[in-house]
Amino acid sequence: MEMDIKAYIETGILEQYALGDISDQERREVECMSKIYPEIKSALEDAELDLEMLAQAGATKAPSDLKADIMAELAKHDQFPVENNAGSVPVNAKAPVVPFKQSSTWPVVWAAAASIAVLLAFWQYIENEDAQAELAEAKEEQSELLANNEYLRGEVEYLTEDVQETFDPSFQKIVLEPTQAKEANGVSLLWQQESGKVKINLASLPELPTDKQYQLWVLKDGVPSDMGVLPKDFQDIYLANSQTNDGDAFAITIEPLGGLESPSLDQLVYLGNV
Amino acid sequence: MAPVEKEILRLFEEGNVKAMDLLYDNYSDALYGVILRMVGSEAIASDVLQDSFVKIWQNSRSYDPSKGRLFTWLVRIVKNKSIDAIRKTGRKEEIQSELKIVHKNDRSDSSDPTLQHDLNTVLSNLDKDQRNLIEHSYILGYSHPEIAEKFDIPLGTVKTRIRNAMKELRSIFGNGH
Repeated sequence: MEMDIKAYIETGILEQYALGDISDQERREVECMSKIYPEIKSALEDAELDLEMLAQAGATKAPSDLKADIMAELAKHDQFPVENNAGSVPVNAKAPVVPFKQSSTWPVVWAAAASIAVLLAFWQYIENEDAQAELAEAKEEQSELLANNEYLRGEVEYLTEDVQETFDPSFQKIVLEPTQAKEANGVSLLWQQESGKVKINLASLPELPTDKQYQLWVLKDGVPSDMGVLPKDFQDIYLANSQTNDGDAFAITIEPLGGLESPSLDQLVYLGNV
Repeated sequence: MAPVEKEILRLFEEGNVKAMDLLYDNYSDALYGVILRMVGSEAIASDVLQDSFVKIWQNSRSYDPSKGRLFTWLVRIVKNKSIDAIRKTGRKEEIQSELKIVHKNDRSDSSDPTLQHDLNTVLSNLDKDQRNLIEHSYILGYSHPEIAEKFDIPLGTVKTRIRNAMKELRSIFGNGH
Protein backbone atom coordinates (compact mmCIF):
# COMPACT_ATOMS: atom_id res chain seq x y z
CA MET A 1 0.00 0.00 0.00
CA GLU A 2 1.47 3.28 -1.08
CA MET A 3 1.52 5.78 1.69
CA ASP A 4 2.88 9.25 1.93
CA ILE A 5 3.68 9.24 5.61
CA LYS A 6 4.90 12.80 5.72
CA ALA A 7 1.76 14.08 4.04
CA TYR A 8 -0.40 12.12 6.44
CA ILE A 9 1.38 13.63 9.44
CA GLU A 10 1.16 17.12 7.93
CA THR A 11 -2.64 16.93 7.81
CA GLY A 12 -2.60 17.59 11.55
CA ILE A 13 -4.76 14.58 12.28
CA LEU A 14 -2.37 13.38 14.97
CA GLU A 15 -2.84 16.62 16.89
CA GLN A 16 -6.58 16.18 16.52
CA TYR A 17 -6.24 12.67 17.89
CA ALA A 18 -4.37 13.91 20.94
CA LEU A 19 -7.07 16.49 21.55
CA GLY A 20 -9.89 14.03 21.08
CA ASP A 21 -11.20 16.27 18.32
CA ILE A 22 -11.69 13.42 15.86
CA SER A 23 -14.34 11.09 14.47
CA ASP A 24 -14.39 7.40 15.46
CA GLN A 25 -13.49 6.38 11.92
CA GLU A 26 -10.49 8.73 11.91
CA ARG A 27 -9.47 7.59 15.37
CA ARG A 28 -9.34 3.98 14.21
CA GLU A 29 -7.37 5.06 11.18
CA VAL A 30 -4.77 6.88 13.27
CA GLU A 31 -4.42 3.91 15.63
CA CYS A 32 -3.99 1.58 12.70
CA MET A 33 -1.44 3.82 11.00
CA SER A 34 0.45 4.22 14.22
CA LYS A 35 0.78 0.48 14.57
CA ILE A 36 2.05 -0.03 11.04
CA TYR A 37 4.36 2.98 10.63
CA PRO A 38 6.91 3.80 13.34
CA GLU A 39 7.27 7.35 12.02
CA ILE A 40 3.59 7.97 12.61
CA LYS A 41 3.73 6.36 16.02
CA SER A 42 6.59 8.66 16.94
CA ALA A 43 4.85 11.76 15.61
CA LEU A 44 1.72 10.75 17.49
CA GLU A 45 3.68 10.47 20.71
CA ASP A 46 5.03 13.97 20.11
CA ALA A 47 1.52 15.31 19.68
CA GLU A 48 0.35 13.55 22.83
CA LEU A 49 3.28 14.84 24.84
CA ASP A 50 2.51 18.36 23.63
CA LEU A 51 -1.00 18.03 24.96
CA GLU A 52 0.29 16.79 28.26
CA MET A 53 2.80 19.63 28.46
CA LEU A 54 0.13 22.26 27.94
CA ALA A 55 -2.25 20.61 30.34
CA GLN A 56 0.42 20.35 33.03
CA ALA A 57 1.34 23.98 32.46
CA GLY A 58 -2.25 24.89 33.14
CA ALA A 59 -2.61 22.58 36.12
CA THR A 60 -4.84 23.84 38.92
CA LYS A 61 -5.12 22.33 42.37
CA ALA A 62 -8.54 20.82 43.00
CA PRO A 63 -10.26 21.51 46.33
CA SER A 64 -8.38 19.62 49.03
CA ASP A 65 -11.29 17.52 50.31
CA LEU A 66 -12.18 16.31 46.82
CA LYS A 67 -9.77 13.40 46.78
CA ALA A 68 -11.34 11.72 49.78
CA ASP A 69 -14.82 12.17 48.29
CA ILE A 70 -13.72 10.72 44.98
CA MET A 71 -11.97 7.71 46.49
CA ALA A 72 -15.06 7.00 48.60
CA GLU A 73 -17.26 7.15 45.52
CA LEU A 74 -14.92 4.85 43.60
CA ALA A 75 -15.27 2.17 46.24
CA LYS A 76 -18.90 1.81 45.14
CA HIS A 77 -18.04 1.02 41.52
CA ASP A 78 -16.50 -1.98 39.79
CA GLN A 79 -14.30 -2.10 36.74
CA PHE A 80 -16.16 -3.16 33.61
CA PRO A 81 -14.85 -6.40 32.10
CA VAL A 82 -12.35 -6.18 29.26
CA GLU A 83 -13.84 -5.40 25.87
CA ASN A 84 -13.13 -8.15 23.45
CA ASN A 85 -13.38 -7.76 19.70
CA ALA A 86 -12.67 -11.39 18.89
CA GLY A 87 -15.28 -12.53 21.36
CA SER A 88 -17.75 -14.95 19.83
CA VAL A 89 -16.83 -18.46 18.69
CA PRO A 90 -17.69 -18.95 14.99
CA VAL A 91 -19.78 -21.80 13.69
CA ASN A 92 -17.10 -23.91 12.06
CA ALA A 93 -13.75 -22.96 13.49
CA LYS A 94 -12.68 -22.15 17.01
CA ALA A 95 -10.96 -18.81 16.84
CA PRO A 96 -8.50 -17.63 19.48
CA VAL A 97 -10.10 -15.13 21.84
CA VAL A 98 -7.57 -12.45 22.63
CA PRO A 99 -8.37 -9.46 24.86
CA PHE A 100 -6.56 -6.16 24.40
CA LYS A 101 -3.32 -6.44 26.23
CA GLN A 102 -0.43 -4.08 26.73
CA SER A 103 1.94 -5.88 24.41
CA SER A 104 -0.50 -6.46 21.54
CA THR A 105 1.57 -6.75 18.46
CA TRP A 106 1.07 -6.40 14.79
CA PRO A 107 1.15 -8.03 12.23
CA VAL A 108 -1.63 -10.56 11.76
CA VAL A 109 -0.15 -13.91 10.77
CA TRP A 110 -1.65 -15.84 7.81
CA ALA A 111 -1.33 -19.57 7.25
CA ALA A 112 -1.35 -20.84 3.67
CA ALA A 113 -3.06 -24.05 2.69
CA ALA A 114 -0.83 -26.36 0.66
CA SER A 115 -3.41 -27.94 -1.63
CA ILE A 116 -5.02 -24.71 -2.81
CA ALA A 117 -2.91 -21.61 -3.17
CA VAL A 118 -5.41 -19.62 -1.15
CA LEU A 119 -4.75 -18.05 2.22
CA LEU A 120 -7.37 -19.46 4.56
CA ALA A 121 -6.65 -19.15 8.24
CA PHE A 122 -7.23 -15.72 9.81
CA TRP A 123 -5.06 -15.03 12.87
CA GLN A 124 -5.20 -12.16 15.25
CA TYR A 125 -2.90 -10.75 17.98
CA ILE A 126 -1.31 -13.95 19.20
CA GLU A 127 -0.37 -13.35 22.82
CA ASN A 128 -0.19 -16.24 25.22
CA GLU A 129 0.09 -20.00 25.26
CA ASP A 130 -3.66 -20.55 25.66
CA ALA A 131 -4.27 -18.68 22.45
CA GLN A 132 -1.61 -20.71 20.68
CA ALA A 133 -3.18 -23.99 21.75
CA GLU A 134 -6.51 -22.83 20.41
CA LEU A 135 -4.76 -21.79 17.24
CA ALA A 136 -3.51 -25.34 16.71
CA GLU A 137 -7.08 -26.57 17.06
CA ALA A 138 -8.23 -23.99 14.56
CA LYS A 139 -5.65 -25.23 12.06
CA GLU A 140 -7.13 -28.72 12.16
CA GLU A 141 -10.60 -27.45 11.56
CA GLN A 142 -9.37 -25.23 8.74
CA SER A 143 -8.20 -28.25 6.76
CA GLU A 144 -11.75 -29.59 6.97
CA LEU A 145 -12.97 -26.33 5.52
CA LEU A 146 -10.40 -26.63 2.77
CA ALA A 147 -11.81 -29.91 1.58
CA ASN A 148 -15.23 -28.32 1.38
CA ASN A 149 -13.84 -25.37 -0.49
CA GLU A 150 -12.33 -27.59 -3.18
CA TYR A 151 -15.80 -28.80 -3.99
CA LEU A 152 -17.29 -25.35 -3.93
CA ARG A 153 -14.57 -23.92 -6.12
CA GLY A 154 -15.78 -25.94 -9.07
CA GLU A 155 -19.27 -24.62 -8.56
CA VAL A 156 -18.10 -21.05 -8.17
CA GLU A 157 -16.10 -21.15 -11.39
CA TYR A 158 -19.15 -22.37 -13.21
CA LEU A 159 -21.22 -19.55 -11.79
CA THR A 160 -18.79 -16.76 -12.46
CA GLU A 161 -18.47 -17.68 -16.13
CA ASP A 162 -22.02 -16.43 -16.37
CA VAL A 163 -21.15 -13.02 -15.04
CA GLN A 164 -21.71 -10.43 -17.71
CA GLU A 165 -18.66 -8.90 -19.24
CA THR A 166 -19.30 -5.34 -18.30
CA PHE A 167 -15.87 -5.26 -16.81
CA ASP A 168 -12.95 -3.45 -18.32
CA PRO A 169 -10.42 -6.00 -19.58
CA SER A 170 -7.57 -4.28 -17.75
CA PHE A 171 -9.08 -5.44 -14.49
CA GLN A 172 -7.82 -8.63 -12.85
CA LYS A 173 -10.63 -10.88 -11.75
CA ILE A 174 -10.33 -12.37 -8.30
CA VAL A 175 -12.90 -14.71 -6.86
CA LEU A 176 -13.37 -14.37 -3.12
CA GLU A 177 -14.36 -17.79 -1.89
CA PRO A 178 -16.72 -18.28 1.04
CA THR A 179 -14.92 -19.50 4.15
CA GLN A 180 -17.81 -20.27 6.47
CA ALA A 181 -21.18 -20.85 4.82
CA LYS A 182 -20.62 -23.86 2.55
CA GLU A 183 -23.66 -23.21 0.39
CA ALA A 184 -22.69 -19.63 -0.47
CA ASN A 185 -21.54 -18.43 -3.87
CA GLY A 186 -18.20 -16.81 -4.42
CA VAL A 187 -17.90 -13.04 -4.73
CA SER A 188 -16.32 -11.56 -7.85
CA LEU A 189 -13.85 -8.78 -7.40
CA LEU A 190 -12.07 -6.83 -10.11
CA TRP A 191 -8.82 -5.06 -9.45
CA GLN A 192 -7.10 -2.64 -11.77
CA GLN A 193 -3.68 -2.63 -10.20
CA GLU A 194 -2.28 0.42 -11.97
CA SER A 195 -5.06 2.76 -10.93
CA GLY A 196 -5.71 0.92 -7.71
CA LYS A 197 -9.45 0.68 -8.44
CA VAL A 198 -11.44 -2.15 -6.95
CA LYS A 199 -14.88 -3.20 -8.21
CA ILE A 200 -16.87 -5.80 -6.41
CA ASN A 201 -20.10 -7.53 -7.36
CA LEU A 202 -22.35 -7.39 -4.32
CA ALA A 203 -25.18 -9.37 -5.91
CA SER A 204 -24.30 -12.65 -4.27
CA LEU A 205 -23.72 -11.32 -0.75
CA PRO A 206 -26.37 -12.55 1.67
CA GLU A 207 -28.33 -9.90 3.50
CA LEU A 208 -27.13 -8.99 6.97
CA PRO A 209 -29.05 -7.86 10.05
CA THR A 210 -29.51 -4.09 10.38
CA ASP A 211 -26.64 -3.64 12.82
CA LYS A 212 -24.04 -5.46 10.71
CA GLN A 213 -22.14 -4.59 7.58
CA TYR A 214 -19.64 -6.24 5.26
CA GLN A 215 -16.13 -4.79 5.27
CA LEU A 216 -13.51 -5.26 2.56
CA TRP A 217 -9.80 -5.72 3.28
CA VAL A 218 -6.71 -5.95 1.12
CA LEU A 219 -3.81 -8.00 2.42
CA LYS A 220 -0.11 -7.54 1.77
CA ASP A 221 2.45 -9.79 3.38
CA GLY A 222 0.03 -10.76 6.07
CA VAL A 223 -1.06 -7.26 6.98
CA PRO A 224 -4.71 -6.37 6.34
CA SER A 225 -5.67 -2.84 5.32
CA ASP A 226 -9.15 -1.42 5.45
CA MET A 227 -10.74 -0.97 2.02
CA GLY A 228 -13.97 0.33 3.48
CA VAL A 229 -17.40 -1.02 4.32
CA LEU A 230 -19.68 -2.29 1.59
CA PRO A 231 -23.04 -0.55 1.14
CA LYS A 232 -26.09 -2.34 2.45
CA ASP A 233 -29.09 -2.94 0.18
CA PHE A 234 -27.00 -2.67 -2.97
CA GLN A 235 -27.19 -5.64 -5.29
CA ASP A 236 -24.98 -4.32 -8.06
CA ILE A 237 -21.35 -3.83 -8.98
CA TYR A 238 -19.79 -1.47 -6.46
CA LEU A 239 -16.69 0.68 -6.96
CA ALA A 240 -14.80 0.78 -3.67
CA ASN A 241 -14.10 4.16 -2.07
CA SER A 242 -10.53 3.20 -1.30
CA GLN A 243 -7.86 2.20 -3.80
CA THR A 244 -4.86 -0.04 -3.54
CA ASN A 245 -1.95 -0.62 -5.91
CA ASP A 246 -0.39 -3.44 -3.96
CA GLY A 247 -1.81 -6.55 -2.39
CA ASP A 248 -1.72 -10.32 -2.51
CA ALA A 249 -5.23 -11.12 -1.31
CA PHE A 250 -8.64 -9.62 -0.61
CA ALA A 251 -10.99 -10.55 2.21
CA ILE A 252 -14.46 -9.70 3.46
CA THR A 253 -15.53 -9.80 7.08
CA ILE A 254 -18.79 -9.06 8.83
CA GLU A 255 -18.46 -6.13 11.19
CA PRO A 256 -20.74 -3.80 13.16
CA LEU A 257 -22.21 -0.92 11.16
CA GLY A 258 -19.45 1.43 10.12
CA GLY A 259 -16.76 -1.21 10.30
CA LEU A 260 -13.73 -1.63 12.55
CA GLU A 261 -10.08 -0.66 12.39
CA SER A 262 -8.94 -4.26 12.24
CA PRO A 263 -10.72 -7.35 11.02
CA SER A 264 -12.68 -9.66 13.33
CA LEU A 265 -11.06 -13.08 13.12
CA ASP A 266 -14.17 -15.11 13.49
CA GLN A 267 -16.20 -12.99 11.09
CA LEU A 268 -14.18 -13.76 7.96
CA VAL A 269 -16.63 -14.80 5.27
CA TYR A 270 -14.81 -14.46 1.95
CA LEU A 271 -11.21 -14.69 0.91
CA GLY A 272 -9.36 -14.71 -2.40
CA ASN A 273 -5.75 -14.72 -3.57
CA VAL A 274 -4.56 -12.32 -6.24
CA MET B 1 6.31 5.13 29.68
CA ALA B 2 7.03 6.72 33.04
CA PRO B 3 7.37 4.38 36.05
CA VAL B 4 4.24 5.78 37.66
CA GLU B 5 2.25 5.08 34.50
CA LYS B 6 3.53 1.51 34.43
CA GLU B 7 2.51 1.11 38.05
CA ILE B 8 -0.95 2.53 37.41
CA LEU B 9 -1.46 0.17 34.48
CA ARG B 10 -0.27 -2.76 36.50
CA LEU B 11 -2.78 -1.91 39.22
CA PHE B 12 -5.55 -1.48 36.61
CA GLU B 13 -4.90 -4.95 35.40
CA GLU B 14 -4.94 -6.31 38.92
CA GLY B 15 -8.23 -4.58 39.57
CA ASN B 16 -6.66 -2.69 42.42
CA VAL B 17 -8.37 0.65 43.08
CA LYS B 18 -5.12 1.98 44.51
CA ALA B 19 -4.39 2.80 40.87
CA MET B 20 -6.85 5.66 41.18
CA ASP B 21 -5.01 6.98 44.21
CA LEU B 22 -1.81 7.21 42.19
CA LEU B 23 -3.68 8.62 39.25
CA TYR B 24 -5.19 11.34 41.40
CA ASP B 25 -1.87 12.33 42.90
CA ASN B 26 -0.17 12.56 39.53
CA TYR B 27 -2.81 13.78 37.13
CA SER B 28 -5.68 15.45 38.96
CA ASP B 29 -4.15 18.93 38.82
CA ALA B 30 -3.68 18.83 35.07
CA LEU B 31 -7.12 17.30 34.52
CA TYR B 32 -8.83 19.71 36.89
CA GLY B 33 -7.24 22.58 34.98
CA VAL B 34 -8.64 21.26 31.70
CA ILE B 35 -12.11 20.85 33.20
CA LEU B 36 -12.14 24.21 34.94
CA ARG B 37 -11.26 26.07 31.77
CA MET B 38 -14.08 24.36 29.97
CA VAL B 39 -16.87 24.55 32.55
CA GLY B 40 -15.91 27.79 34.25
CA SER B 41 -17.16 27.03 37.73
CA GLU B 42 -15.25 25.29 40.49
CA ALA B 43 -18.36 23.57 41.82
CA ILE B 44 -19.15 22.07 38.43
CA ALA B 45 -15.50 21.24 37.87
CA SER B 46 -15.38 19.23 41.10
CA ASP B 47 -18.43 17.23 40.06
CA VAL B 48 -16.99 16.64 36.61
CA LEU B 49 -13.67 15.49 38.06
CA GLN B 50 -15.48 13.04 40.29
CA ASP B 51 -17.69 11.70 37.47
CA SER B 52 -14.60 11.42 35.28
CA PHE B 53 -12.74 9.42 37.86
CA VAL B 54 -15.62 7.00 38.20
CA LYS B 55 -15.70 6.56 34.43
CA ILE B 56 -11.93 6.15 34.29
CA TRP B 57 -12.05 3.45 36.94
CA GLN B 58 -14.96 1.65 35.34
CA ASN B 59 -13.25 1.60 31.95
CA SER B 60 -9.72 1.07 33.24
CA ARG B 61 -9.49 -2.45 31.84
CA SER B 62 -10.32 -1.17 28.35
CA TYR B 63 -7.44 1.25 28.14
CA ASP B 64 -4.97 -0.02 25.56
CA PRO B 65 -1.48 1.48 25.85
CA SER B 66 -0.62 0.50 22.29
CA LYS B 67 -3.20 2.99 21.06
CA GLY B 68 -1.81 6.04 22.79
CA ARG B 69 -0.63 7.61 26.00
CA LEU B 70 -2.52 7.28 29.23
CA PHE B 71 -2.92 11.03 29.49
CA THR B 72 -4.57 11.28 26.08
CA TRP B 73 -7.12 8.70 27.19
CA LEU B 74 -7.73 10.51 30.50
CA VAL B 75 -8.20 13.87 28.79
CA ARG B 76 -10.67 12.42 26.34
CA ILE B 77 -12.85 11.14 29.18
CA VAL B 78 -12.54 14.38 31.08
CA LYS B 79 -13.40 16.52 28.06
CA ASN B 80 -16.45 14.45 27.22
CA LYS B 81 -17.71 14.77 30.77
CA SER B 82 -17.05 18.51 30.67
CA ILE B 83 -18.98 18.87 27.43
CA ASP B 84 -21.89 16.93 28.98
CA ALA B 85 -21.86 19.30 31.95
CA ILE B 86 -21.70 22.37 29.73
CA ARG B 87 -24.62 21.13 27.68
CA LYS B 88 -26.69 20.75 30.82
CA THR B 89 -26.05 24.26 32.01
CA GLY B 90 -26.09 25.77 28.50
CA ARG B 91 -23.01 27.80 29.21
CA LYS B 92 -20.97 26.90 26.16
CA GLU B 93 -21.01 30.27 24.40
CA GLU B 94 -20.36 32.13 27.61
CA ILE B 95 -17.38 29.98 28.51
CA GLN B 96 -15.77 30.08 25.15
CA SER B 97 -15.73 33.83 25.10
CA GLU B 98 -14.23 33.98 28.54
CA LEU B 99 -10.59 33.97 27.61
CA LYS B 100 -9.97 35.53 30.97
CA ILE B 101 -10.31 32.07 32.43
CA VAL B 102 -7.35 30.96 30.38
CA HIS B 103 -5.24 33.60 31.97
CA LYS B 104 -6.46 32.96 35.47
CA ASN B 105 -4.27 30.24 36.77
CA ASP B 106 -4.11 29.70 40.47
CA ARG B 107 -0.61 28.48 41.17
CA SER B 108 -0.41 29.73 44.72
CA ASP B 109 -0.96 26.40 46.41
CA SER B 110 0.79 24.19 43.91
CA SER B 111 3.55 22.46 45.79
CA ASP B 112 5.12 20.77 42.78
CA PRO B 113 8.40 22.50 41.92
CA THR B 114 8.79 20.66 38.62
CA LEU B 115 5.81 22.51 37.10
CA GLN B 116 7.94 25.46 36.19
CA HIS B 117 6.02 27.20 33.49
CA ASP B 118 2.53 28.42 33.93
CA LEU B 119 0.28 28.56 30.91
CA ASN B 120 0.81 32.23 30.22
CA THR B 121 4.57 31.87 30.15
CA VAL B 122 4.32 28.95 27.78
CA LEU B 123 1.97 30.72 25.42
CA SER B 124 3.69 34.08 25.54
CA ASN B 125 6.43 32.64 23.37
CA LEU B 126 4.13 32.43 20.41
CA ASP B 127 3.12 35.22 18.11
CA LYS B 128 -0.39 36.59 18.46
CA ASP B 129 -2.00 34.46 15.76
CA GLN B 130 -0.40 31.26 16.89
CA ARG B 131 -1.28 31.93 20.50
CA ASN B 132 -4.87 32.58 19.52
CA LEU B 133 -5.11 29.30 17.67
CA ILE B 134 -3.56 27.28 20.48
CA GLU B 135 -5.83 28.90 23.05
CA HIS B 136 -8.90 28.09 21.02
CA SER B 137 -7.96 24.52 20.23
CA TYR B 138 -6.03 23.13 23.16
CA ILE B 139 -7.46 25.32 25.89
CA LEU B 140 -11.03 26.21 25.03
CA GLY B 141 -11.71 23.03 23.13
CA TYR B 142 -12.79 24.48 19.80
CA SER B 143 -12.64 21.96 16.97
CA HIS B 144 -10.61 22.87 13.90
CA PRO B 145 -13.70 23.46 11.75
CA GLU B 146 -15.11 25.72 14.48
CA ILE B 147 -11.90 27.76 14.53
CA ALA B 148 -11.86 27.98 10.72
CA GLU B 149 -15.36 29.34 10.79
CA LYS B 150 -14.82 31.79 13.63
CA PHE B 151 -11.72 33.37 12.13
CA ASP B 152 -12.68 32.85 8.52
CA ILE B 153 -9.52 30.90 7.67
CA PRO B 154 -9.35 27.79 5.47
CA LEU B 155 -9.44 24.57 7.48
CA GLY B 156 -6.11 23.40 6.09
CA THR B 157 -4.49 26.64 7.23
CA VAL B 158 -5.83 26.15 10.76
CA LYS B 159 -4.29 22.71 10.94
CA THR B 160 -0.95 23.82 9.52
CA ARG B 161 -0.65 26.82 11.80
CA ILE B 162 -1.51 24.84 14.91
CA ARG B 163 0.99 22.22 13.96
CA ASN B 164 3.69 24.84 13.42
CA ALA B 165 2.87 26.54 16.69
CA MET B 166 3.24 23.26 18.56
CA LYS B 167 6.55 22.55 16.82
CA GLU B 168 7.78 25.93 17.98
CA LEU B 169 6.70 25.40 21.57
CA ARG B 170 8.34 22.03 21.56
CA SER B 171 11.61 23.44 20.33
CA ILE B 172 11.53 26.19 22.93
CA PHE B 173 10.80 23.97 25.85
CA GLY B 174 12.56 20.81 24.77
CA ASN B 175 9.71 18.92 26.37
CA GLY B 176 11.96 16.00 27.07
CA HIS B 177 11.30 14.44 23.64
